[in-house]
Amino acid sequence: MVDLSIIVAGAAGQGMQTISAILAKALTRQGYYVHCSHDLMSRIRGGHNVTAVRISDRPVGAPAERANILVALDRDSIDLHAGDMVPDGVMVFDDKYKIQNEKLNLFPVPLEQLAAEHGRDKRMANAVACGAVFSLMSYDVDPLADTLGDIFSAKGDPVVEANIRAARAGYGFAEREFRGVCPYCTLHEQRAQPQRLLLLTGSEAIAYGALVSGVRFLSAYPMSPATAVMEYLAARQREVGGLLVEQAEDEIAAVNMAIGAAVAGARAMTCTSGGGFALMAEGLSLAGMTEVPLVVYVAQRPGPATGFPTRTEQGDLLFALHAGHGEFARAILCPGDAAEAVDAMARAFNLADRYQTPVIVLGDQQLGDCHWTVDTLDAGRVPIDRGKLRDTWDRSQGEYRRYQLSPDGVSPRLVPGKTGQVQYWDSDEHSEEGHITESADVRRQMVAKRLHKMKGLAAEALSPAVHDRGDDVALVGFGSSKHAVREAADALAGRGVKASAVHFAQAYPLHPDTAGLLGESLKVVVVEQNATGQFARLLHSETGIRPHGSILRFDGRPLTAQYIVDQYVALG
Amino acid sequence: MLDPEIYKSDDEVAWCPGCYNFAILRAVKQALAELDIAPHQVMFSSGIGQAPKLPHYLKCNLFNGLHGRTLPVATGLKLANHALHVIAEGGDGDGYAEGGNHFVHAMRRNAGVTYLVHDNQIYGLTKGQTSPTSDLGFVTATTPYGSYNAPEHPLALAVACDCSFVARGFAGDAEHLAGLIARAIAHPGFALVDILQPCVTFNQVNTYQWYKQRVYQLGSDHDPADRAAAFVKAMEWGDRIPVGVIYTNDRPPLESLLPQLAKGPLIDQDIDGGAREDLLARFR
Ligand SMILES: Cc1ncc(C[n+]2csc(CCOP(=O)(O)OP(=O)(O)O)c2C)c(N)n1
Ligand SMILES: [Mg+2]
Repeated sequence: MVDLSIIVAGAAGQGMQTISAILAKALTRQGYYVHCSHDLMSRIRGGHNVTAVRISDRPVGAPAERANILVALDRDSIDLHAGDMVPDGVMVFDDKYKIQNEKLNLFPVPLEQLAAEHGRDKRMANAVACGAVFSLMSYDVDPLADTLGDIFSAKGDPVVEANIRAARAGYGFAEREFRGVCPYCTLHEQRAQPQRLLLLTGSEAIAYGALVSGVRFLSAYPMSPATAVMEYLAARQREVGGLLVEQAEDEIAAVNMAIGAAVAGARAMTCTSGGGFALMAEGLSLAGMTEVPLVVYVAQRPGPATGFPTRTEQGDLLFALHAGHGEFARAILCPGDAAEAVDAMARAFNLADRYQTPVIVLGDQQLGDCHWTVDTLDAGRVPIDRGKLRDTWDRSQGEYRRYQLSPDGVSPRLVPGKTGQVQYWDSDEHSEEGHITESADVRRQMVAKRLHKMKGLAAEALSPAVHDRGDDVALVGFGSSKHAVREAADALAGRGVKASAVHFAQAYPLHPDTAGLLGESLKVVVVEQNATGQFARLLHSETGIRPHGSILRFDGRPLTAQYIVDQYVALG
Repeated sequence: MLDPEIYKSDDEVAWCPGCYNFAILRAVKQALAELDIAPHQVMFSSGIGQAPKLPHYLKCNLFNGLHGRTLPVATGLKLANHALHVIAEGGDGDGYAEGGNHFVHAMRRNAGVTYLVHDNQIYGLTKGQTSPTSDLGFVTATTPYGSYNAPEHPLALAVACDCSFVARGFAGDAEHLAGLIARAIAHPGFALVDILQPCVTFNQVNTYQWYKQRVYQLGSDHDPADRAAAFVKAMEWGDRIPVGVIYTNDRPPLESLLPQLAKGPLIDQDIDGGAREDLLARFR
C-alpha cells in the first residue's frame, strides 16, 4: 500500500503552486490517486507558502498530518517544516544551506545552480526539485518531461524546454548522488490504470458539472474561493457553445441577472463566497417568491466579514439554510469531493428546474482549491430534467397562469415569447395569474403552494453515505470533511474503536431516514469545521438526534484524520 | 400598426386618480402598437414603487422583481433570449438610488434593454420621501428641513457613461412621449428615457404646471451625436428643461459582440449534457 505525503514549501513567488501541480499531474499519470492542498501548515508570516501533495494507490481526499518528503525551497522552510516530518523523512533542499539533522534523510541538491545552468535562471529551481523528487522515487524522467510540456505549453516552447532541461538536470544529479538510498521508492507497488484517472480541482469539478448539466448563463462577482468556477466557465464559453459568462458589478446584480436568465428559460447560476452570498440574500428570497429555478454555488471561507480569504471553514451552513427573508423552499447540497461536486451540480440544476426554487451548492475552500484524483467522471449519470418547463401551450387549457395551483406546488412554466401566451412573475404576494394581491385566502394558498415543495425535495433527498466500520460510534460530517472523517474511522479501528463514518452530501432537507439510521448508533459525534457546531444543531432540529459530542476545527486549516482521532480520544 | 387595445390587462389599477402614470401607460401601449410588437414578444422587468406596477396593467410578459433590481434582471433576460424586446421600468428611487450602481453598469454594458424611469422626484409608493432627483431644499417627511443632497442629473450621468441612447420625456405630453419610447425600443443598445411625471398626491412643488412652464422640445438645431452639446442639454435644469433625444451613439449592443449568440438566442441552443471528453482530456 502506498500513502506518501510530499510538502513543498518556500517563499511566495517561488512557484509552489506550479511544482505541486506538476507533481500532482505527473504522479496521477503514474497511476496514483493524488490529493493536493495549498497553504497547509502555512502558519507563519505572509510570504511563506506551502502545498501538500499526498499520493496513494487508493482514493485519498484529505491531507496527512506528517510529511514523508519535504521540498524546501528556502532556508526558512527547512526550519519551519523539519518538525512536520515523519521519522526518517526525506528532505530535498538547496545544498547552499549547510544543514545537520539526525532524524531526517538529507538530500542536498544544487537547486538554484542547476536551474541557472540548465534552465533559464535560478527561479527554475522548482523544476530541478521536481526532477530530483522523481529520481528519489525511482520513476522515469520522460513522463515528468511530458507533464512539464503540457503544463507550460501556453507559455511557448522556450519556456517548456528550459523547464524540461532544469528537471532533467535535477533528475540526473539525484540519480548520480542518491540512487537507491531514498526509502520512498514506490515503483513496484500496486497502482490504478493511469489512463483512467483525472486530476482536477473542486472548483473545476463544480464548473464542469455545471457545464455538462447544460448551464447556459453564469453571472458572478469575483470572490475567493469561488472565482475559479467563474474563470473555468469564462475560459470555455466560446468553445462549448451556448454558454455566457458575465462579470456583474456586484453580487446583487449577479444574482438578479441569473434570475433574469433563468426566467427566460436558460439554466442559470451564480457563484460566490459568504460575503457575496450575504449580498445575494434578498435575491435568493426573490427566487423563492417568484419560483425561479436558481442555482447558487457558495464556496465558504472563514468569516465573519473578510475573515481568512484563502482558508477553509464550514461556518455558513446555517446562514445558507436561513438566508433570505420570509419562508420558502430550498435545498442545500454539500459535495464531499470532486466527483460528488459534478453530481451535486447536475442534481442542483434538476432540483431547481423541477421545484422552481433556489438550490444552494455549499462548498468551501478545501473542496474548491484542492486537486483531487478521480476515476473518470461519468456525468451522464444524472440525466437532465427540466421539470414542467414547456415551449408550447394548449389553448384548450385556457389562458396560461404562471402560479396555477397544483397538487405538488409546482406550476407549469413556459419559455417567454414562445407560445403566444403572456406570463406575469411577481415578487409581491400574487394571484395565480401573477398579479399583486392583498387577499388573505390567496396568501394562504400561495404560502402553502411554495412550501409544499419541501415535501418533494425531502422525498428525494440524498441519503447519507455510511462507511461502515462498526457501531461504537458514528462520526458524522457534511461536505468536504468526507475523506478525513472516513480515514479517521479507519484509524480508530486500529485503536479498537469501531467507528463508522457518515457523510452527508445533502444538508437540507435531510433524508427522511436519517433519524432511523443514526438513532441505531450508540453514539453520534459530529465533525465539522466551525466553532458552534452548526450541523449538529441542524441535525437536532430536523431529527431530534442529540449528538454526544462535537469535533470542531475553526482555525482555517483543513481537517486531517489525525486531528479527528486526537480530538476523539480527548473527548473520552 | 397594431391596435393599442390588445395590450389591455384585466388587472385592477392601484394608482391615484389623475396620476400621470396613466399617461405613461397610454404612451407605452401606443409605442408597442406602432412598432407591431405582439404582447408575447416583449418582456418587462420592473422594480417596486408606483411606477413599476405599470406592466401589470399591460398584457405582456412581466417579471416584477425587487426594488432597485430591474436592470440586472433585464440584462439576464436579454442575454438569455435576445429575440425578446426587454423593457425595464421603475421610479427615480428604484433606478437612481437603490439601483444606482446597476444603472451605471448597464450603460457601460450596453445590452439591448429599454429603460423607462418615471421620474416624479419623490418616493410615491412609500408616501412621500426625498429622492435622488429631488431639488435642493425639497421638504418631505424624511427631510423636514429640506434636502441637503445635490440632486442627481440622470441624463448627465448617462452621457458621462456613454449611454447609447439618452432621452427625456414629459408625461404631460403622452403623444411626444410615445414617439420617444418607440425610438428607444427600436434602438439596438441600452436606451434610457427619463420621464418627468407630476405626482399629484405627494409632490406639491413639481406639479404639472411647474413642468409645463419649463419644458420645451429640442429642435433640429440639437445634434444628439454631439456629446459635448448633449452634456450641456443634459445639465439644463431650472427655468427651461429640454425634452427629446439628448444623446445617441452607435456603440454596438453587447449581444452583437458575443459569438455565442450569433447562432441565435442562448435558450434555443440545445442542452445536450453528458460527458465532454474534450474537456476531460485536459484533466488527464
Ligand atoms: C430593499 C427595499 N428597500 C425599500 C423598499 C421600500 N420602497 C418601496 S418603493 C420605494 C420608493 C418608491 O419610489 P420610486 O422608486 O421613486 O417609485 P414611485 O413610487 O415614486 O413611482 C421604497 C423606498 C423596498 N420595497 N425594498
Ligand atoms: Mg418616484
